Amino acid sequence: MTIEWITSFLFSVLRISTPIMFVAICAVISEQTGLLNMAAESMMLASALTGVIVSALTQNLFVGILAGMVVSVLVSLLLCFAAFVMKVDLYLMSIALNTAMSGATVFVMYIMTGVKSNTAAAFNSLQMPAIHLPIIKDIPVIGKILSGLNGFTYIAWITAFLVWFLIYRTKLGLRMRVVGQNPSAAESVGINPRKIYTIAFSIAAAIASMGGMYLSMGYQNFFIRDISAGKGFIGMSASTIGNANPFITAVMSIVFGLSEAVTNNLKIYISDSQLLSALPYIITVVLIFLLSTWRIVQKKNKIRRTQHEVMAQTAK
Amino acid sequence: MNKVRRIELTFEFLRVILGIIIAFAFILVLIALVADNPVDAIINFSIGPFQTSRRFGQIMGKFIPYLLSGCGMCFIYASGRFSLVGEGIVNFAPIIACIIIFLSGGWMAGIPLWINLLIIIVICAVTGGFIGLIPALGREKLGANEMVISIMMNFILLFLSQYILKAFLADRSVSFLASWIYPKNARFPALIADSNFHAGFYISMIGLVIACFIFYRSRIGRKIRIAGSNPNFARYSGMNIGLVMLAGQVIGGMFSGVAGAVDAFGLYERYQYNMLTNIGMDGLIVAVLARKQPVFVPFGAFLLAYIRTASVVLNLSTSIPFEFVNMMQAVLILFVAADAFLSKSKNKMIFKESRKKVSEQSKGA
Repeated sequence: MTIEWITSFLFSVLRISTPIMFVAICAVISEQTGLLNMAAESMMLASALTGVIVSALTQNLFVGILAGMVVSVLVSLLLCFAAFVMKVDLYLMSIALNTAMSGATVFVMYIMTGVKSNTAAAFNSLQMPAIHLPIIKDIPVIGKILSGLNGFTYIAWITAFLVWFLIYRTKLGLRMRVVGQNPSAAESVGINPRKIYTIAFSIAAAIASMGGMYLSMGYQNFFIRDISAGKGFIGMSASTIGNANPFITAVMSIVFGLSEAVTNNLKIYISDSQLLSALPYIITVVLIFLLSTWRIVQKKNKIRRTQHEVMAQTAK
Repeated sequence: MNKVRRIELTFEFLRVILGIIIAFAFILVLIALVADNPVDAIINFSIGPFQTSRRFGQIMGKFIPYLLSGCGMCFIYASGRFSLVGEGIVNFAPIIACIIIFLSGGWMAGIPLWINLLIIIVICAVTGGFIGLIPALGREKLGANEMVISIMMNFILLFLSQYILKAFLADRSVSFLASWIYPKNARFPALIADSNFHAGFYISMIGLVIACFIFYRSRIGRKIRIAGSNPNFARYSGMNIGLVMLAGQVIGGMFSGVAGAVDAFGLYERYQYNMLTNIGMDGLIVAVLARKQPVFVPFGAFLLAYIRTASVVLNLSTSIPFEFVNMMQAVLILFVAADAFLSKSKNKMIFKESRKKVSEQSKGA
């Protein structure tokens, strides 16, 4: 294990964790309003394909990214329309949307290209370039790790900060948290929870779309069917583990990226790689169980402490 | 039955029918726009699945597991929990059965067909129940979100079953990853020769009857329904909600396990799943189409099986990718599961009826 190997490994960890980080942050926003964003998968798929097609047709990267975002937001608006106007169960509709989008992307791809596996041959999509940070790239080891990553990776880190700011420092974020803790209380002071949900889901969709476009326009420059491959759900569990805190969630998504990178690296040496592939999911489940146990114990302790205090006061 | 209840039921029915019609119209328009020869394509899609006995067998082959997983999902859905672990159970439960068939010293070889099948089904049901218990326990005892856990568990179960298959059961003489060929007495015999219509049909029918019995006539079924539709009421009337929800999810898991058994030992001659089968998720769609009522599950299951087969038929004749029907499912759910769809006219009808009743009463007085 040389230093070079370690730096390239850490570099790949950051690269792999990027889409997970986007989805995890997207899940944070909806989780702050008290809802799970199960439809992140469909948002990623829709935007990944749109980004590829539009950027190839217009030969303009930013138009492509913008189009991907718009489509993703449209998907989330459809979801919100179904859930809050038509009163379909939100999670049911999310699951339906996920399967629908995995079908719709194949369908659109087939119409546009005549192939239903990927768009590599038909579209010459643009790619987000790698960015070399000016000063950091000259620092010996850290420069190799932190500089030269894809543009989307840096956007992901900035997004984590922006989302933290949005949730904890703005009026909208306060409203989102209020709705998340008690929708009826929010409604009684004149906040329309459905409006807040819709706004939150739209912002979340815009963030998730970048995760999708990273897969099709950052990693590589074409779209493969079912390109998201369950990343939406991993992001959702990262946010669940992080208790909807943007920073812990971002760190968690790097942990997931790490486990995936370890898996990729070890696959070469181990022939039965199935158990290894299950590793990230096993870690997730165990972590969620442990954390919920911990939270319950804490809650009980707090109740006991309060009881003691009350007892002590009444004794006086 | 009073009039208001009758109006409600009528609208419930109308909503499902309208939803199906809208979804069909949507998909037919889509086909007409895309296909080179629209008339042919539409005919192929709508009546193609019934044209040959082989295609009908395909519908039934899909219908059998959908029926069981749909019944299971009714319990989970009715208890108000969204445990999607059925998906992974369908993959994993047959693996446990395979281990017992192939690696337990061959004691199953001499047993008559139906007893052997019964043993397999019981094994799969028990496995399913235990796996269904994990997210349920996490939810009821620890407060961990059952949906996140169950989705993660689906992936774990998939990889775990692949691992067991590769390490202990793989037949190295075939080019793809699959188990050895099942012994003769571990396969559901075909009901129509050379088609997918197999004797698992009887199992699914028995499963349906059992599901209906538990759901409508047993104490636990009633508790599940009450606790699902109004948890507070259930809690204040002294029910142990945690236990009831647990029971609902375990029953759901058991049905998914049987669905896996019927599918793996009915359609294939070896265990050869290498990805998630989607039967569990489709069970949810079936349960939605049946409005959470096991009695109506056969209709939902048949509709979904028909749509799926139709898309495959269409794919063979026009090369439109069969994945496009997934969009149709979303439209179906959007209308069938929408509480607000048609609710205005329903309320108007109920108001009118009630007003009439009141005026009649006042006249009588």
